[in-house]
Amino acid sequence: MISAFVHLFHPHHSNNHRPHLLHPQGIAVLVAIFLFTNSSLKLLAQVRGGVLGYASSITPQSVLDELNTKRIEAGLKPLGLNDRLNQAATMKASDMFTLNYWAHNNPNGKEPWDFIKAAGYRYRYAGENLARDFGDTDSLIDAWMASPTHKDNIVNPRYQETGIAVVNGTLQGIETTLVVNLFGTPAVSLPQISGIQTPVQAQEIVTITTAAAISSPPAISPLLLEKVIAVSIISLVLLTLLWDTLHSSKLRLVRLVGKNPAHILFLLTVLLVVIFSQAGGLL
Amino acid sequence: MKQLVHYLALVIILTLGFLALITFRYHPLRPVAIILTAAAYFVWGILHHLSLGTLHRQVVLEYFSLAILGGIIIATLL
Repeated sequence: MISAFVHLFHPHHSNNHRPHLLHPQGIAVLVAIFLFTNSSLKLLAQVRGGVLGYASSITPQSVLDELNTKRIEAGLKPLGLNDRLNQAATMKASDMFTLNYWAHNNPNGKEPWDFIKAAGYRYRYAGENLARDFGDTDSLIDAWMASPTHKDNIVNPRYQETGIAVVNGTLQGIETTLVVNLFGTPAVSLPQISGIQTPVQAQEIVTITTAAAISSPPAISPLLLEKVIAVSIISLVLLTLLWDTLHSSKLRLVRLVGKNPAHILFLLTVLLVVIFSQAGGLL
Repeated sequence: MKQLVHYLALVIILTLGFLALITFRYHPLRPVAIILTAAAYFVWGILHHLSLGTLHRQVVLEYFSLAILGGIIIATLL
């Protein structure tokens, strides 16, 4: 047993002077372990909602401020916050948590525009951006701006108003912060000359508790867990490669195997991408 | 000298791959960037060993399995 374990990491004549972990079969096992643990995490989240979750510092006001900063940078007028669009965004978020879906249209076929109309907003143009699992407003806006379709909504000169809902709840088993951002232009366009308007305040963060009730504060971020697993696997292979390089050069072994320095460079690149990867899903 | 050129090419490939993956994180082209980076590494391995005369089935499988491992990890997390 111990011998088999050592031969996983140590070059020896019994493993053809190459650690078993670096054999294609060994790497295939690591791929299987990674896929299995990730699937298990998702299953755990579905079965025991509330075990995994994200903590977020996003507020509707910070989203509005950053959206308008991007518009001003693009030479556009800032968006005005519309109370009816805010209501529509909150209704949409509530519907997503209640029916437990992550999509623009709900399972019954209801479209984003239906929520906008239900809130009493008559529009000429309308759009919707969705986001989940982001920890802060900066990374959320960066992600939207990096996605061509979401960016089109943010810096679209046709839109004059927006509605934002930031809602905490449990979606598909994971506690998350959902951001619904609706864009619109009233059917009768707003006057270009500024008049007296009642300022609309950005809504507070709402928390929705669904059937999969939140029993305790979110303990573990699923993304962090996935990252830890990925970094562990990559580090294990990297350390084995380094040990194999040291050992084989010391013994001047001649083997018909891949080049360790190349493998190390590739895995370091993967490691960097994993480290730079950010939380959050967009729709 | 030949090895140095090969490794320089690999560093360029991986740097471009890294930049593409970060740039296209939220872009519809993200899967293409992942596949291209992993495939470029695999092809580099084949060509490198071919030029050295050390290309063997086990070597091909080794580069292939590592490219798959890297590609799947990035695709899952990015």
